[in-house]
Amino acid sequence: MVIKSGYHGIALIVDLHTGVSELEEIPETVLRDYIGGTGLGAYLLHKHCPVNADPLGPENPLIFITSPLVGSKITTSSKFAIVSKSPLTGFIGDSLASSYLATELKSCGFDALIIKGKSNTLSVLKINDHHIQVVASPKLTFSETQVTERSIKNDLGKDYKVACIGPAGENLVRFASIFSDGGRQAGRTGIGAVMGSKNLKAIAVKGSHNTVIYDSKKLGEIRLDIAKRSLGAGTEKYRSLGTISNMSVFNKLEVLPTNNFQLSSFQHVDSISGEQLHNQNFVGNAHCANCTIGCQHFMATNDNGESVKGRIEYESGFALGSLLGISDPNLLIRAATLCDNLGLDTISTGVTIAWATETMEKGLLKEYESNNPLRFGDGESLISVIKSISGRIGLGGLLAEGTMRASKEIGNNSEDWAMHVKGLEMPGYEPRGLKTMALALAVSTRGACHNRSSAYEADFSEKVDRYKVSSNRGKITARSEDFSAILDSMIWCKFIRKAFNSFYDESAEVLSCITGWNITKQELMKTGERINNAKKLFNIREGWKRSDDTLPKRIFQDTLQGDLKEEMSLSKHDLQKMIDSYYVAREWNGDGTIPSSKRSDLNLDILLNKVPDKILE
Amino acid sequence: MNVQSNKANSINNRRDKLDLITIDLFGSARLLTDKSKVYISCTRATEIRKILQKLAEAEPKLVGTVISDDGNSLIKSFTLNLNGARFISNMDEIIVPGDNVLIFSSQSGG
Repeated sequence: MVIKSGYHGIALIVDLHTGVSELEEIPETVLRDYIGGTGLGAYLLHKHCPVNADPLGPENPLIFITSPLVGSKITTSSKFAIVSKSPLTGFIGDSLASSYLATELKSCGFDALIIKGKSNTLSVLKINDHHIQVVASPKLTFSETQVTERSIKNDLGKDYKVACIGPAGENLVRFASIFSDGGRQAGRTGIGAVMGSKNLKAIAVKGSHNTVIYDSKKLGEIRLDIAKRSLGAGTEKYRSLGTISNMSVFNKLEVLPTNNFQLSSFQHVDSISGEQLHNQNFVGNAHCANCTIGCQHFMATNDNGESVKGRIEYESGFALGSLLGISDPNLLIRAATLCDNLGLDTISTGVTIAWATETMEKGLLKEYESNNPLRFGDGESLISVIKSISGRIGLGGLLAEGTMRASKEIGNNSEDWAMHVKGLEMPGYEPRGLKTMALALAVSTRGACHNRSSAYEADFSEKVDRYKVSSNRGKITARSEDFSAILDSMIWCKFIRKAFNSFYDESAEVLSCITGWNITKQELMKTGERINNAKKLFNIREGWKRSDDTLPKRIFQDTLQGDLKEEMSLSKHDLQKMIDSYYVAREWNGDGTIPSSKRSDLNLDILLNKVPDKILE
Repeated sequence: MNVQSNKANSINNRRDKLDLITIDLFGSARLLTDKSKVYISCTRATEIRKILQKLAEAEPKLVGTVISDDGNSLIKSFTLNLNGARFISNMDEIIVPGDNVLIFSSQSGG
């Protein structure tokens, strides 16, 4: 097997049931067409996930993927993707994290780790280069994430890098996350539950292979240049306050989801704004692996309770703060840190609890009220409810299924205020005041997602009137998704995107330097398009229908009143018009399926060799 | 269709005085000045750049960090929104007394 510059050209496949591993070659054409990260992950998911596999069944693969940038030491490059069929959506699930695990995985001598089957007992998958061992680890049962990482490092040595789940993943909470590097989370789409379903508590990896760089001299020059720019104007927000600074801005613009999207501004936002937290609770910055930016802002509690320190990002601040009407910064820090320790996605956790709160306030969920009285603005039960979700105890057992399934079970119109798309809970962007983002949330292949496009950028610019729908939203959203597909496949951190002068040109140059391929901007743009079509094709084979591209009923049913705008609303008809424009921009059929001409143009038919034709018709 | 109001909870109490421009500062602009709002006297329609120049005089810590050294524009890290409704990059645009200028990071999302 020829080692390709920037890659190993190999996937390691491990069957946890048999303990047997094998190496599979990844053809160079595939690497070039899908790059790495979420792109290569989409390809491998097509190949290794049987049609209609149960997301929590042994046949659903859990795939860790690195990228050509990993090992290059270029800033923000130590990232990996995890791809699987999502237990929340039943469609493609993917999540990224920045971590030294990425560099160590690649040092093991493969580009992807594909985990299949289910271990008989709770286990740790130990990988040293291509040697694997499935180690029964009963002592780690229900241990929290940080404890688990420490314990494994103590047993195996500190040079092992660890990714693990907490008790939430073991209990198959459908929005469980995967933890690494002392606190980095691959949070979305419930991949921690997939890991739990395999009785896999952790992977621990150590490798000895270097990454071959085609033109290391030139890459060295680029590396220095990008590192310098990463400390410039394009990343100022992430360095100074972090994403939590969105709280006060979104509030002012009346797009800060509050009280389960019943309001779009929060009267107590000043208590949990980024500026306030920075003044009252900030204790220090940290950098992700091989990153110059330093976006991690640690906050510590400052009350008389147990001292807790953790990272507070905007999405955690919105989901566990304004969305629940909670204004106590110490409670917010405790809740977000608890989610990290239990291995829960903070967004889905907050949105699911917000649904439960409104449902309880409306007189439903009475049987749970005495143990977990939930009211907007009252955080007394928040910590205990988060623990109950992780442990699937009482009300937590219902909420562990996620907003979509919980609301279906309770009925009584509670689905109307269940804030999810395709089963994935909504991030902190009010669609009625951000119409481009409304479209992006509706059509995203992984559900209500703020990361697989940056469509909101148009709404926060002069390009569009954020309150009005328009026919150019489809093209804006499709191009933004393609841009993000390249970011997430190479893998660049999203926070560096504004440091580029010409993203596609510079990315093509970097990729050419690493691999020796002569990549052009045009090729890269087409690759972005291919990756998004590949993801969509996976969803189609898993039963996607046009009606899945929609938003929660509340968005259509309820009009928001604000100071800035008398009324903010979005009709189903207007969303459908924008979706039509998106399908046109993608050159898809009117029903959202992908015509054979487009599949052929993007060389996607190789993904379909195991898929019955009738599924695609 | 239900109507849900932010108004009762709103913190957006725009000043009614017609001889002022209210500037809301966010993020590091707020940290640098230790102010969330700055009021600039303005009695007639004027270009945004002139308001920025007055802001630079009132809050010199913003020069070079938020406002360009010549005081005519924002540096690349920041963006300007008028009345929460419209993003503006042309500093020759005219604003009027009573308007509310928002200055925050140009790196949206997160």
